[in-house]
Amino acid sequence: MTASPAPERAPLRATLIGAGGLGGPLALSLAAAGIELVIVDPDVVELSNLHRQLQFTTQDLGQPKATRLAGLVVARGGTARGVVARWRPEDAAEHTEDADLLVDASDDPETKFAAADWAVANGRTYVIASALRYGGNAMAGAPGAACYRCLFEEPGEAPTCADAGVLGPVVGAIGGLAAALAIGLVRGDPRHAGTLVAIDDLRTGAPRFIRLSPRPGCTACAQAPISPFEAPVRVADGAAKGAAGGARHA
Amino acid sequence: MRDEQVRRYSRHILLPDVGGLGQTALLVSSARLELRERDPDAELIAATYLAAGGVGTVIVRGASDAQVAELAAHGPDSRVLTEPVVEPGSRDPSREVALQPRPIWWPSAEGDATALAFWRGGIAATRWMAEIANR
Repeated sequence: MTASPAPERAPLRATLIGAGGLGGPLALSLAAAGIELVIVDPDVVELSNLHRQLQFTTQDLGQPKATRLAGLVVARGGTARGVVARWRPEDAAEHTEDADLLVDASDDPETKFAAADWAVANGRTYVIASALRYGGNAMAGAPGAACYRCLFEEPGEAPTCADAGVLGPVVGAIGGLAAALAIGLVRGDPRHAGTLVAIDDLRTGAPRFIRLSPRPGCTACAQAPISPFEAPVRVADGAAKGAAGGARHA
Repeated sequence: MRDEQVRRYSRHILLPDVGGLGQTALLVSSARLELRERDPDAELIAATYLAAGGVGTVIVRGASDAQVAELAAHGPDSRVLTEPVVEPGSRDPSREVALQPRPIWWPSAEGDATALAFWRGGIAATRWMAEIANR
């Protein structure tokens, strides 16, 4: 008679949108936490990427970022697959359907909203990350919490790193912080669900953790399987007992 | 700067308080840091951002040959060295890259060591580079 092995926890899965400055640290950090990745990015490596995208060197110039980054993750012992395409919700069956976590590290506002809306409608945890100049932010979302569209409402005209510049290591810091938020969320820690973490200037400042309230009339929350207005807010620390309170700053 | 350098560092040069002068200051600057034996990731990440960002000399005490080669591959404009080039008594403390410990507000999660290393290394390199480039 043989003892049956203890049932293993199925590995968590994430789809990462963007294999650039934020995507590199995110991919390596999520994979190091044992999370299996699908990495989606349409771009190829350019010379102007290399000062901040440490996952690439001049040998990668002209190569697709998604597959090169996935290859690096695998070389470091992780699990990853690269998809060379722009992430679109209509293609979710190809790369995102079974993801426990969706992380946006793209530089495209339309993609960020599409990713957040998909995650909300499908009841997944998600993180939307951005970096520019000397700062950035990361929004952490989970079912039952205020969402990305509750805060920003509609995609607007936002400057990109190509317009306004970014100091190289800023993306490492923001990517690492976004990864820590994502790892906690997908492991079931609700502390930061519905929170925007904003860092205006990494040279001098510390992050602000801004707990968001759901916005009445939010079109994304209207599609959510768990409405933030009906569900108890998944906040462990007791800071927010009701769903419809004012913005809380932690 | 050569044309290739202008393209490589264009996202730095676009920053109004860096510009061509700030990037040139980075290209002739010299940074030093030390790998901690048991947990070198944050220091290595900081060193890699410095080399990739065009810091002219990056001195990494305690780095292996493989680590030096990896850093050099990211920094074609950087000399990457393992030995200190100044005597301890005449070190310029402003050249040392200071790494901070894990912040108290850090959103800890199981398996977040690499994420934390990117945060710490990224912050340290940001502050060091800005100090040079924003002058």
